[in-house]
Amino acid sequence: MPILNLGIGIGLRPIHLREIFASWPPIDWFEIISENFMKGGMPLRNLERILERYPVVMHGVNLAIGSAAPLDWDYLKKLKILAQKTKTPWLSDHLSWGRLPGAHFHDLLPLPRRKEVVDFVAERARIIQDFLEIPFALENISSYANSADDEMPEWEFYSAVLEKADISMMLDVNNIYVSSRNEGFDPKEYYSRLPLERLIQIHIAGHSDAKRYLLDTHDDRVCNEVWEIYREVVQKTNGVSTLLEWDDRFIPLEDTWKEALKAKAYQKQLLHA
Amino acid sequence: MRDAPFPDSLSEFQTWFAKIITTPIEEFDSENRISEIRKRIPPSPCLKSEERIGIYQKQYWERLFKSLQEIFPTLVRLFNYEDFNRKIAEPYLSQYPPNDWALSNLGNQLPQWLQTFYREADASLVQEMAFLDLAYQHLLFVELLPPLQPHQLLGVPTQKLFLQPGVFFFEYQTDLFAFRNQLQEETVEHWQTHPFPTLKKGTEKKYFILYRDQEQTSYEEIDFFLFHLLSKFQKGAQIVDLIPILEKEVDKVLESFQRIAAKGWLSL
Repeated sequence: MPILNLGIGIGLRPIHLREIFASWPPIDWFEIISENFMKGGMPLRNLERILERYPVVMHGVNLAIGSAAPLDWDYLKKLKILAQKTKTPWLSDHLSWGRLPGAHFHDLLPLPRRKEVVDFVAERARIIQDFLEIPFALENISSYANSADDEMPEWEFYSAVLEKADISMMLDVNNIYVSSRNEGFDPKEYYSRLPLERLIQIHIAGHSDAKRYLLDTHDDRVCNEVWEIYREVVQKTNGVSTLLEWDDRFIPLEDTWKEALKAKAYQKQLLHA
Repeated sequence: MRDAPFPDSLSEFQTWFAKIITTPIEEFDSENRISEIRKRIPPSPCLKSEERIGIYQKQYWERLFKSLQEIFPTLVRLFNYEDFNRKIAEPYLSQYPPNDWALSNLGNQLPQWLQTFYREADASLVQEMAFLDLAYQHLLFVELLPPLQPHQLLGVPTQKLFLQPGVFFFEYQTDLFAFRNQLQEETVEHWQTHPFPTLKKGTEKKYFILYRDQEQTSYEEIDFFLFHLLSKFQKGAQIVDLIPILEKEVDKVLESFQRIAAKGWLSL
């Protein structure tokens, strides 16, 4: 099935709502953090107004798929109801863990990169995709630590899960760069080994430099090195839905959209060359 | 429901990892713990093992502190960021760590926790403001029912009417809503160097209703009659059952029901 290219989007954030409702800017699509709308109420009413005018894609942060805790079916049912409401063409979350029975850590924690973990997460991903009845994608995380028992590098672990589960790839090119700096690998080695035929969406974002390591903070413009990775990846596709994440130290909506539009310019340049 | 069995080794690793990152920051660098970390987490080219996992520990606490600060903006102004984190957030979170996917639920037990564990001279004000901040937060997520329309009022004397979900009542000796608004008008940093607005305690009780309409959350001061009348609808009531109350203040009945209907505080 051909992959839908929605164009360039930005994350829907409460700080921009007033401006959006006042001017309805020509943004191709919005991505939402699923959990922010799963409790209903005012956030959902605002989303309904957005849905009248824009395509919306759902991206979660709390599925915690690789957690050694039973799947949270109450969470998944709420997620599916929201997916039906938004008509999201696909739904993504992260290749990470973040829960244990009775505890939720609200972070994207790194999984041990072992064969038995690939098998476990892949089976879960299949179960989740079957339940949601829409394409499901996993995103690579920014990594600050790994396990001494790792059996493979991150790109091999990520690829193996996607292949074994037969699901889609949500590739965060900023996360590749952040992890490459923190772990000391060549980003090209990472993205050149990924099954890019599974690529359904790209995330671009800014990060913070803590001198001895980088932090994935989504609070700045996209740096040149990340744009370079983006260019290299897009070149291997026929164009792909791209989303600028910006979650802190916000700038005006217009400037956020201008930053995102750089991705459109890259795609135009690369795909029409 | 289907699920995949998780490997025991994964459960063991994650339980260990969770114990490290949920340790309060100042308790982190004991020698025993560092040697344990070095066995499990290799160093990176730039960071030692304990520094690497320390990033997750710092993120865990900072994210939860930030979430509580967002839920309790008035409390943060009363304490400032550092004291709020140290005196309230960290001890509270150590007792009530997050256990579900919604970060917005993180502060649900804080008012009760304060009643038990916060014993300073300003405890009463702190507890009241915590309740108020939490009420504002809850109203964000309330699903409103179709409001009772003014023309429906006469037709429903024997039908049970209910308060809209998320209508909250408060009775104070002073106007804490105005106090809260004044605090919110300035930043946390401002209140570190300026005195708080004066809280004038009146001799009579004041009654307030906090509610949400389609667009926003609002509060209004109401008189005791309306306070008493509306509170009867919390568990549902028929207008005919309220006749004894209505008869006591006949001249206020029409105006009160007009206000109730106009604000959409009741539903069928």
